[in-house]
Order: sequence, then structure tokens, then C-alpha cells
Amino acid sequence: MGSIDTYMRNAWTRLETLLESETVFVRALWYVPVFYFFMEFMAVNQLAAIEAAESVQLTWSWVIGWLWLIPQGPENASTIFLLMLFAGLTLGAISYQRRISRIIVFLVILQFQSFRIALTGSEHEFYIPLYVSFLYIFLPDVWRAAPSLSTRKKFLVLYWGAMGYVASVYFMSGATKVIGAVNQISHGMVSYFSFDAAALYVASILNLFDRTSILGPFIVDHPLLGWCGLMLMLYVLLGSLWALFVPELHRLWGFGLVLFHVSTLLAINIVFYHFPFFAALFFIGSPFAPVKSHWRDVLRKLPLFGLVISRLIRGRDDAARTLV
Amino acid sequence: MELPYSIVRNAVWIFLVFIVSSSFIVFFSSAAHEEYPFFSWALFQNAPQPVGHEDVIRFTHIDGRKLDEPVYTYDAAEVLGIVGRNQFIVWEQYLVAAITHKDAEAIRRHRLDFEKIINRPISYQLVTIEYDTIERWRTGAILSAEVIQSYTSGDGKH
Repeated sequence: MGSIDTYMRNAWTRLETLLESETVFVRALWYVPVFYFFMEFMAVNQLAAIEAAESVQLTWSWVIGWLWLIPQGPENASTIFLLMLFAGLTLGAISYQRRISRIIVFLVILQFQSFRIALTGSEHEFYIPLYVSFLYIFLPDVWRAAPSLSTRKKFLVLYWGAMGYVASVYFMSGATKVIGAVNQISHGMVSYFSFDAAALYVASILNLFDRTSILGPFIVDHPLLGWCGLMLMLYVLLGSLWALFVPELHRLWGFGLVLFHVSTLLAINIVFYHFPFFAALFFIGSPFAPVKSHWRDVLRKLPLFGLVISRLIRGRDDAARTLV
Repeated sequence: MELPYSIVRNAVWIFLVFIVSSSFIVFFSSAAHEEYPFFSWALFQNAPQPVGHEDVIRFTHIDGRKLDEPVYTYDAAEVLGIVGRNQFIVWEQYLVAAITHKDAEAIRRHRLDFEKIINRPISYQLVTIEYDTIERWRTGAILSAEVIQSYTSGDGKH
């Protein structure tokens, strides 16, 4: 426990050094408008879903409770929220430099996400935009004049916080699966750690949604290979919070998370368009990641296996030195 | 007034600890694992079992005509002329949950929603099916089906 604490403290000290880097700051600066432009794209994507659900009754929610106070509010909810989303997110794309615009973007997403939940009962796609836009409200004004070191550090620590939210999403997805597995094992049931879990998982989801998938038949016929993929997926999900503190791992983890979404599509034919974008934006494109890093440095820093790999590499280097 | 860096840094840390903690709290305290604006990210967190059970809706009549065999929602794309079950699965699941919880008001509301989405005169049943997970995916075969409740669209009776 003590060594993990020391490791994390050292990792944070190294990260704080990066917060002072002007190069890192300039890179992060460009990613903020990219986020707001992508919000506009997400707004367009909502059109079809809302039209399909127009006739369905809304469930009351405290966030959008005002809708019931205006005449014909719930009946016209689709139009109201769509207009609100477009107006708010367009404002964000045009004037993200102004705090008031960023506040409006956050409020619009808060409302829209609540509306989608009131409509369908469950909606996850706007959680990352919701919390990232919340953190971005507090970004200091760095667009008008050359910012001071303290201002740059504040900007970057907030950007890192946004990365942290994305990492926490994936970590929780992995952690809840492990908790579920422990619970199922304790009841003598098949769990995620059972060798046929991937085959059952694929068959069950494809049954549920009445779909087929590219890799589905292969995984059902080769459950052990599927299980290896499942364990790798759990490793990537659970390692997300660790990777957040290790800039050398940011790009690798970004690729891992995108690969997780690609494998989800290939195995169970479920598409999450927005999540891979955020994984790529915040981790593959991480401003904190070193421009060049040696594969050995990356492997040494892997969660759990890093220590073993580090010793193996050191042992091999020592052996090579002895030979020389 | 500009906040010092140390306050912003500590606030970001508190935010992240709060987010992870609230996700765990929602996971353990909410049946839906979601209390907006908090979500646990528990998605498919339980592994499916080799023999599964599912409460599902099946159609017995469409447009007033009795079907030769009841058609389950997951097989109904062709007879309903739709893309697939995903077009109405959310409303189907709400209705199924309302019926299994014997919540009369929720049943009434979700029946209306479900029937609006299908948008054709139908008679349908809630059934509990038992199946071999892999075999059902390979051949569509189920082991047994038990009828829980039957409805006809527009009759408003349970």
C-alpha cells in the first residue's frame, strides 16, 4: 500500500512538472475548441432519435420540471429541447472562449440529458460532455492575452480533470463488472472470469437485440479466445485510472479504449460513436503524453505487469552487460 | 478575482474523488444504477448464465388476424415490417417491468407507449421463456414458455 502511495505521489509530482510546460499548454489549448465543435456534431446526431420517440410520454424529472409549467410543454418537448440543444451548442462552438457560453453549454447538456432519460429511462452518451463541459466552465481566460504560468497550470489541471472524468467512466465500467463477477462466483454462478463467459455474453446480447455480428460466431465457437479478449478488456478498463497518472501510457490507453469499442462493435454489434472520439481526443491526443517514448518505458509503466516487465528487462540488460 | 492554482488543483482532485465515490454509491444503492446526474457505468455487469430466463412479449394477433404461431418480439421484424427489436426494446422492457411488478398505473402508461410504437392493432402476451443461451442464439430454440398476462391493443383492460 505504501509503495503504491509513493508511486502515485511521484507520478503526480511528474505530472505537475508537465503542467508548467508551455508546449503541453499549447497542445491542450487546441483541444478545447475541438470538444465544442464535436458537441455540435452530437446535436445533429440526436435528430433521428427524437423523431422516433415523439409520441411517447415523458417521465417527470426535477431537472426538466419547468416543462410541465408551460402549456403543452411535455407534448412539445422534442422541439423545445432540440432547439435548445442546437442554440446552446452552436453558441459554444462559436464563442467557447467566453465563460458565459461555456455555462450555457453545460446547462443545455444537463437539460437535454435529463430529457433523454425522461424519454427512454436510460441514456449515457451525454455524461462525458456533461462533466467535461462542467469542468470547462472554470477554465481561465487564456485566449485574449499571453497567460501567466499560474494561469496555464490552472488551465492544464482542469484539462487533466476532464481526462480524469473520462478515465473514471471506463474504470467504473470495469470495476462494476468485477463486483458483479465476485457476486456471481459467491452464488456459484457463471461469472466474467468463467472460460465460457465471452461466448455466453455474445450469444446473450445478440439474442437480446436480435442481431448478428462479425466476430460473434467465432467467439461462440472459440470461447477460450473470447475469454482472453474479455480479460484484456477488463484490464484496459480497470487500468484507465492508473494510466491517467502516467503520461507515457496515455496514448497506449487511448488506443486500448478505442479498441475496446471496436471489439464491442465486432463482437456484439453495439456501436458507441461518441465514446471512441472522447477516448481518442483525451488519451491518444493527450497533451501530456511524451512526443517520443521508447516501448520499454511504456511496458515498464503498465499497471500490475509493469514491475515484472521492468525486472525482466533489467535482468536481460544485466545479462547482456555481463556477456560484453 | 483569480483563484490560486492550489485551490483549483485541490478542487479538481475533490471532483474526481466525488465522481468515483458517487458512482459506487449509485451502483450499490440504486436498482437502475443511475440517479441523474450520477451513473455507476454498470453496463452488462453480470455474466449471462448457460440456461437463461427472459420475460418477453410475443404477438398472437396482428391487424386482427390470428398468427399460426405466436411471434416473439425478437423475431417480429418481418411480420411488423420494422428494422428490428431495437426499435421498441426500451418500451417493451418498461412494460415487462411494470407487469412483473404488478404496477397498474405503470402498466397502463407503458401499454399505451408500446402500442403507439407498434402502431398496429395487436394482441400480445407477456411470457417467461427458458432457454439454453448458446442454442437459442444458434437455432432460435427455447426450452419452455409460460404465459403471464395477455392484452389486446386499445382495450385498456388488464
